[in-house]
Amino acid sequence: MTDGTQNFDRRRLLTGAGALLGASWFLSGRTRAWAQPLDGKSGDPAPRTLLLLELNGGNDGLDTLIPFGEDVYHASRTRVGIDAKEVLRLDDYHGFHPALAGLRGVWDEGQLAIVEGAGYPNPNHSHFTSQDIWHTGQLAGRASGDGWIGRLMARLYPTDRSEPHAVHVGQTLPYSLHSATHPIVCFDSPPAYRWAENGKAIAAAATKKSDQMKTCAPLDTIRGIASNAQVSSAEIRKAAAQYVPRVEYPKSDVAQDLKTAAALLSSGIGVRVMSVTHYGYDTHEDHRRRHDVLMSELDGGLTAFLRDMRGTAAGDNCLVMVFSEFGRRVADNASNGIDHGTAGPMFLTGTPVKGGLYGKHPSLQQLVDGDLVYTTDFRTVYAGVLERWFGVESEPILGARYDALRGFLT
Amino acid sequence: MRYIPGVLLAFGCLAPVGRAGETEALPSVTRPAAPRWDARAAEHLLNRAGFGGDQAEVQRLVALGRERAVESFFPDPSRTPPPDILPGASLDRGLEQPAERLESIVRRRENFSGHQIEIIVALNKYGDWWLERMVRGEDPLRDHMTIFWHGHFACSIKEVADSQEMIEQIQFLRKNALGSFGVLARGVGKTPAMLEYLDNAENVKAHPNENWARELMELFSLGDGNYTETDIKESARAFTGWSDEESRFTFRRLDHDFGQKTFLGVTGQLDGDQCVDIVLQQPACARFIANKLIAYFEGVPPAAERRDEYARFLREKDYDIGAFLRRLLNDDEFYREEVVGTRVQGPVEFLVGTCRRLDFDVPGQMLLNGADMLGQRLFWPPSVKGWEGGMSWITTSTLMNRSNVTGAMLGLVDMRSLVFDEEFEHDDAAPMQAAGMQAAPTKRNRVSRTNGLNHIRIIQEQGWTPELDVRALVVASGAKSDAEIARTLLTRVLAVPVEDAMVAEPAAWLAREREARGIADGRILESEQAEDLLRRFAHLCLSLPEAQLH
Repeated sequence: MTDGTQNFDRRRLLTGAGALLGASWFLSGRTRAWAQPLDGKSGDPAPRTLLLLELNGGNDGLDTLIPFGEDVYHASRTRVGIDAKEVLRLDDYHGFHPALAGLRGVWDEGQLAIVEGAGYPNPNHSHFTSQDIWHTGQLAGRASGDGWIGRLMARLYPTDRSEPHAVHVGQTLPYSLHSATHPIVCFDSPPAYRWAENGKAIAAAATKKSDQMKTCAPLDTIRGIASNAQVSSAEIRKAAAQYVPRVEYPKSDVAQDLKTAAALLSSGIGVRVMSVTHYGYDTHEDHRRRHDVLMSELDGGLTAFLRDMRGTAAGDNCLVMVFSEFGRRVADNASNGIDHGTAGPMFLTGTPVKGGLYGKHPSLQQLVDGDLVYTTDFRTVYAGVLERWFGVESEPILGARYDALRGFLT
Repeated sequence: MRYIPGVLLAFGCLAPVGRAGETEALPSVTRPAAPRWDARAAEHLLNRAGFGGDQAEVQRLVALGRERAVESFFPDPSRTPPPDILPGASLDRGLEQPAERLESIVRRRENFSGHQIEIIVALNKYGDWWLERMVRGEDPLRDHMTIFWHGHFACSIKEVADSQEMIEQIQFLRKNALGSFGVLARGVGKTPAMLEYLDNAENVKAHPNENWARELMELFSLGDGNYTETDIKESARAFTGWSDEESRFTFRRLDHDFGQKTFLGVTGQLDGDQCVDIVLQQPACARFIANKLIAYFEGVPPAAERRDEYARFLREKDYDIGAFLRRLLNDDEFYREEVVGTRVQGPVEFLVGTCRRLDFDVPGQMLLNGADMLGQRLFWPPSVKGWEGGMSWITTSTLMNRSNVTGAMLGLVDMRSLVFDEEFEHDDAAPMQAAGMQAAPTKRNRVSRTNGLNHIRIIQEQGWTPELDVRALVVASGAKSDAEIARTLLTRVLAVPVEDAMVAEPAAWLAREREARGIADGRILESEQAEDLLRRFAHLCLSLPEAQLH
């Protein structure tokens, strides 16, 4: 295939994808647009980015940021509770899980903001419904449309719908990144992220659409995904292969995914939002042992990421948000576990963050059906990130006006 | 509306087939014509009720007529008895000591215990048997529905942690796959796998555990919004004492709460069985199941009116899934334009279908592990919600893997090239040591975290090659020119009809490749490179967006 044909093919496929997405945009002369600065401000070499770290399954907030100064905590968790002597104290009331020593260091350095009691009204105890609410920022969940990051992409790139700027590391794409209009990339392992044989011919044929061909919506969608795969495969592989981390990452899956995230965020290939999922938080039984492992993996992975990024342009421009679909009950159950609950802490961290406690801890005295009552609507945090970090209006994305969190940026 | 066989239509006879008077109340002139029972419709049935097939099978179904063709997917269960729990699977066929090889790989990757390796080996054996059975097509609708229920009543071996319990649950689902949903709903909560997976084994009076009670209603029967948090708490009490001992269900009286409960409006000293019965009596339950089944088979959710009609039917028939599917597969709506050829094939459907359409065998465990690479790891559903299905099967990553796995099946892709990648071979040690840090070289990239990729790589390292003769398929068709060969193989490989416009680009690729190999047009079949070239062409076809649909 000659270069001329290839350019033609690329133009065709992009036009096809644009037409499919209802976009009216003009293909510029550059052929590697993805490698360019991306928010339209051409003088800005390192645009602001967000790393979303999801603790999947419902992280027990009370054993993450432990209200050890509260008698009710100890009385409610006779089987699995953490002794006041073990916690890493932040003050006379709050302490970290004993495995969060690395994050305790980040706290001491003033780069860890903790939003206490994050939740939403009429809490839903279903993982999936609650995840949908967190992923869309709307109580209607998926019925409200795209995920909140998908909507952010539409705000940041109203006309450029050809290049993926949101990337998830892992097999299952979280709905937060879902977009009906903008391309999203998802992969499990960079070395395997390619067509192993005949890639050029496949990419050309898979993205091409003849005018005479009958077509259906799923086919158009798959052609769009094939085009995203083609555009992103080489860039992502290169970024991951060439990346030399400045610290050693632990062996856990979440740490390795965070290393890949650091590689992509540092590579200048135009990623604005990276997403990583840490699985396993649904600790209905054997909570203490399992949660200890999870906290240790979280601490090791996230601390390595923060140390790796610190002092780099990419690190200066990367905000990290850690969240979970809900916390867990105040009281433990007979399986030495804890059932689904409601509110929990969110973390905002990274070089641009001004550390400290934000909001207030939910009361352990006044529970509703054995559950905490949230003190901060998580959408005020989303609004803060959207408005103060990305500089976009939050209302069109979140579907309502929220009092955007302030003061969390240096 | 009943299907009117094409033969009768051809004779201009429009007498409806079916019970007398059934259709006479409606003026037949206002109804849309019944969809033609032709090769396209028959292949659609074969794709959705089975796992696709070649043109001979399609023609066999065409000749049967629609009703008998549908009926052929309901063989007498006594003719296809469920197997022994661990059938003498062909795990070792053509492979040298795969279990030991696997063990060493898995140990290196995960530090697994002997028990965990045992689990992986046992499930590979069972999966090997299961997938090969699907390729043979002995009872494909039952296999389909077993996967459906496995995704519906999703339990993962990750938490079950006992291969025997996992297999017994799949066997329970398979036995009742086309039977009563009531039997499934009443029984599945008593399988040790479910008791472990959703923690009901630990649900005791003093401290109820709500996990099973919640998912029973949210995901298995009613759907969110059709019950309250109080219903969950009350029914969790009713299920206290359901437990297991030595992989058998047991009722622990001392742990059971015999007190009064109010569940979905019913008050009494309810136990678990009564709660499941109350759930089954809810109209929302039949609606939820009808909706899910139709959406699964048609690829798009049904209109509310049609869903409700099917829900009523389901309740009338006491939740008989076989009767439900007979009706659905004979429904003209199932053959409408919007449905045919527009559903994303699931990973198992895509890989098994490829074997069936090209008429060749691949070790079942290669298909099992290939499906894992495409996002459907049997026995390990991603959550209690099962696999989402539909377009979520296709991501940038899984789309490329669909090409890579079928490439491996055709003997063209060496999985080692996706694991041992020179570009990724540098280690982190040097720069870290330069910075005064201690670091061991990172060799993680040498073993992929994707179980399926490692496993297929082992099969390949043992010297497995496909027994496949694409050239013979083309010779039998009489095709010679690039365009003829392209059309023949596209038709063979795709589950959707091949349009003229689809042929041009692949045919042009074939012509370019042929010329690059110095072969004249019309002479491909005589060339020594024929098989390699034709396999590469088939691989290109399987990588097209059209090949992902059926």
